[in-house]
This record gives sequence, structure tokens and C-alpha cells, in this order.
Amino acid sequence: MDPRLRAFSILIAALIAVYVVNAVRSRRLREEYSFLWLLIAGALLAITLWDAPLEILTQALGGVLPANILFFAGLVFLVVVSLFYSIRISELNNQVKVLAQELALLRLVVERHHGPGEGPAA
Amino acid sequence: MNRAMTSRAEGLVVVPAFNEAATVGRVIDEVRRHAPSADILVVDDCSADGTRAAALKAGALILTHAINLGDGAARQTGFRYARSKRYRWVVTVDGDGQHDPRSIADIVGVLERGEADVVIGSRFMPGASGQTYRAPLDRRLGMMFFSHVASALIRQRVHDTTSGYRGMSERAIALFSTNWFPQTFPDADLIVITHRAGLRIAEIPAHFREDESGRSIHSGITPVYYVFKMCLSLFVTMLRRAPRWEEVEPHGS
Repeated sequence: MDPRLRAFSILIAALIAVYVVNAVRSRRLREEYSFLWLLIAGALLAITLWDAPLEILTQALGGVLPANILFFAGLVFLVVVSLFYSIRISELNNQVKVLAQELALLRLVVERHHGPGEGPAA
Repeated sequence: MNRAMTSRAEGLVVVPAFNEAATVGRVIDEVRRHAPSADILVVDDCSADGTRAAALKAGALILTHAINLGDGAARQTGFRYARSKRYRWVVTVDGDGQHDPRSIADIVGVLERGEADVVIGSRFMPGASGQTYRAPLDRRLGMMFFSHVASALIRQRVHDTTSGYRGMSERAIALFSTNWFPQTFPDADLIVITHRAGLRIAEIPAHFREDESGRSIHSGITPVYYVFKMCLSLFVTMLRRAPRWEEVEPHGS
């Protein structure tokens, strides 16, 4: 691997790691979601420093260039991540629905005690 | 049990409403005339047109969603209320006036005689009156297709799977309060889930009126998505094991 490419790759991996850790530090990213991204940064670093496994994998899968296998793996990874987020969003949708229903039910109880009004949330 | 302490009425008429300020007051008055012993609950799905004020003025109970959750969730909020107050039956009547409250008594009759747990007020059965249903051909074909699929799956002929004019027994209310209730367009898949839970389904001809607002719950959504959703929903419903009562009954009461 060209030393410039190697340096660039290491830089990207380091930036991802720093950004993710900082996001966790400032509580913008939850630990459970940071794991995946730190794993990616680690994998990028590993491939940069030691690309023998990638060569072996390329040959095993009948690929021509290691870069192709890398791109393909990246693509598959992104598809899987999107799918994972779709599932998360569906779960969150359902949670929001349940909360809004509970809120509506509780609001009626409050209004029975304090009389109907526009209420705090209207 | 201690139902007398929470409410005197045996039954609850649930009126899901989204921007129905113009019609909801009259719907409430008519329901009261035709089902004088029932409580009336409007579920306002975050309307922006004063539906809540109109329903309050007409003297209904009202539950208000702080965010718009859609028609299915609005119905389910009503079921969850009915369950917490232990009503014996629920009938859902749309807020747009297309379900003529004259049929409530017929629907409740079937429930009270214990003949079924879910009673569909049908537009398409012989004897249904009022509304000459004029859906576009593609939608009619879709409805026919899914009613045939649902009928085949439950081995019982159901003509009108998409009607929102339905009555439910206590057991059906309990089932529909859980996440077995489909979140979007609960119709053909709801019938199949009901059947798989071991509940009985009946369909009776009901009175309908032209939807004065000219809208339908299904307007706006592309028929393609509806067909996709219903096929997938029916498919996964059959893949799931049947609802178990020990999951449905314990919580919430």
C-alpha cells in the first residue's frame, strides 16, 4: 500500500474514533451506538496496518482487486446499518404511540379533577 | 365487579376523529339518540380544526392525542380506555358521519346475545342501506380481493373487511388493546387475527351515508402501498403463532 494512502487511512480511522468518543463524552451519542462505529474505526486501522487478511479474502472470493472487496464489504455494512436503524425507528414509533395514548388517557383523568381546559400541551 | 364505581354505562361508542369539527357534534347527538345508554368517547387524533371543542360542546368524553398517530392508533386509544373502564362492549363510529348510528343497536344486539366477539357493520351485504358505495374500480378490486383472501383464511365469508363500523366484545377489546392490533389500516388482517385468537366474527348489514366531507381514511395513501401492506401483514400474521390469552389478559386491568 502506498505510504500516502496508508497515512490518510490512519488519519480517517483516528478522526472517526476521536469524534465518536467525544460524542459519547458530551452525551450526544449513547454508548450502545458508539460500539459499532469504534469497531469500524478499528477495522479500518487494522486493514491499513496489516492487509494480508484482505489479500487472502480477495483470493478466496475470487476477487481481482482487494479494493473491490473492501468497497463491497463497506456497502454491505452500510445496508445492514440502515436496516438496523429502520428497525430502531419502528420501535421508537411504537414507543411514541404508546406514550401519546397514555398521555391522552391521563389527560382525561386530570381534566376530571380540574375541569376541562385546553390543558398544558394543547 | 366495581364497574358501577367507574361508569354506569355498559357500552362505549368510540368516535375516532381527525379534523371532523363540522360533523362530529351531529354524530355525537345522533349516537346519543340511538344508543342512549352508552357512553360516547371521541378520540381526537391531534386535529387542527376545533374537533375537540366541538366534541366537548356536544358533551362527549374526549381523549386527545398530543401528536397525530393515525386512525388505527386512535381506535386503539379508545379500546384501551374501554378496557381500563371495563365496558362490556365497544362500537366504533367514524367522526365524519358516514356510519349511521341507527345500526348501533343491531350490532350491540349480536354482541349481547353472545353470538360473536367482533361484529362488522357491512356495506356490501344484502340489506345494507344508504350509501351507494362508489369507490374507484382499483380500490373496489382491492377490497374484493382482500375480503376473499380473509374469507379463505378464516373459512367464513366476510363481505366487507374494510368497514370501520364495528362492534367488539370485552375479549375483543382486550385483544385489540395489545400490539396485536395492526397499526395502519386495520381491516383484513384484523379479521384474520381475530379469528386466530379464537374469537368469533359476525357480519350484519348496516346503514351508511355518503361521506359528506368526500374523504376516506384511505384517501391520500397510494393503493400500491395499501396492497403491499395488506399482503405482507396477512402473510406475517399467518407466520406468527396465534395470540395467547395469557399475554392479552393480565396487564391493564
